[in-house]
Amino acid sequence: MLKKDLIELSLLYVLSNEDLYGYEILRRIRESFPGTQESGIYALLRGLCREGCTEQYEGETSDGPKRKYYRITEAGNRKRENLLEEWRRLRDALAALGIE
Amino acid sequence: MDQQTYLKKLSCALHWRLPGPEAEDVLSDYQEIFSQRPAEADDRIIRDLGEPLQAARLLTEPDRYRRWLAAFGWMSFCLALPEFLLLRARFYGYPAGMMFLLLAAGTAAALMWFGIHRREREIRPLPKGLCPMLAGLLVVLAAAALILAGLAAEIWKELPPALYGIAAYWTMSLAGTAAAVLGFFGLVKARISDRRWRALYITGLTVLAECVLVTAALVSMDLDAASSGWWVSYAGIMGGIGFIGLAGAGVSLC
Repeated sequence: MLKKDLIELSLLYVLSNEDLYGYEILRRIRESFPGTQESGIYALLRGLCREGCTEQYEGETSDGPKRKYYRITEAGNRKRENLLEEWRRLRDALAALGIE
Repeated sequence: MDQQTYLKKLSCALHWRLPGPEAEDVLSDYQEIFSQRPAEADDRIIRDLGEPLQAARLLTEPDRYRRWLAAFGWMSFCLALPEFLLLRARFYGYPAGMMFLLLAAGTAAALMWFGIHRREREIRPLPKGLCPMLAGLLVVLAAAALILAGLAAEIWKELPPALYGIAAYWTMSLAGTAAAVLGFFGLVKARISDRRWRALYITGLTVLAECVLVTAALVSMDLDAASSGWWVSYAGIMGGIGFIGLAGAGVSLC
């Protein structure tokens, strides 16, 4: 499992809790992966959109222009479960070797 | 780097690597991101977002980008080959067929590529700078034709007749090279700015083809050239090339 997969898992996970707009997604993910540039995170988010795992819609805001919001789709939920499963397997494998 | 400079560089990189509508979509996302970033974060743009070129590279789909590079390579080749022939000025037979073929291939590629990938319905004003450049290209052609006519009529008495050939060669070479450079510029602008810049590419290709044909006629050992109507067949071919080029450029502006 690569760092790219971990970021994708994180993107799908935060979107499974609530719909978010672009900058907020980048800000949250970057807090967890400070060494990763926002353009890289944005490229992964866009890749998920292209795969049909997330979709965009224009949302209203009370104090400004319309924003593009992202939400997770059914395909996204399935991908999140698969990535999560893979992550757990890896974590268990490492734990079995004594790596915590 | 401030936000405006970053967006300008990003726009160029995105339009070069992605199809037009997708590049616009990404650009609007970045504008939205910038609108929510604190202004004092300007000095951290590169650190947070990465270089514009790198950001565009991350978004590039390799297959689609390779297809564009292949099309770009082909259209550039259609300019490069006549330019090479023009500068070398050595021909094996009159290259009318080859020029027709290259002009048709370059024009068709430019019309199909930019037409298919960037179809737009609304009427917009022509891009700034396109009309002056098209006019400049036609002026270059007209000036070259006038110089050649002057040489043929021997109106420059101060120029020794021994230099007429060299003067004609340099006139055609400079006019053709200017056309090739402007044509290439039009091709790049058609990709990164507005598809109608392809009119400059097609006009440049046409002027270059005309220069090659004139040079080939001048260096040929055509024994019929001594007769009075020797130029009629050449004029017919050049007229045909000019008609195809102007028609292609006209369609490109639509």
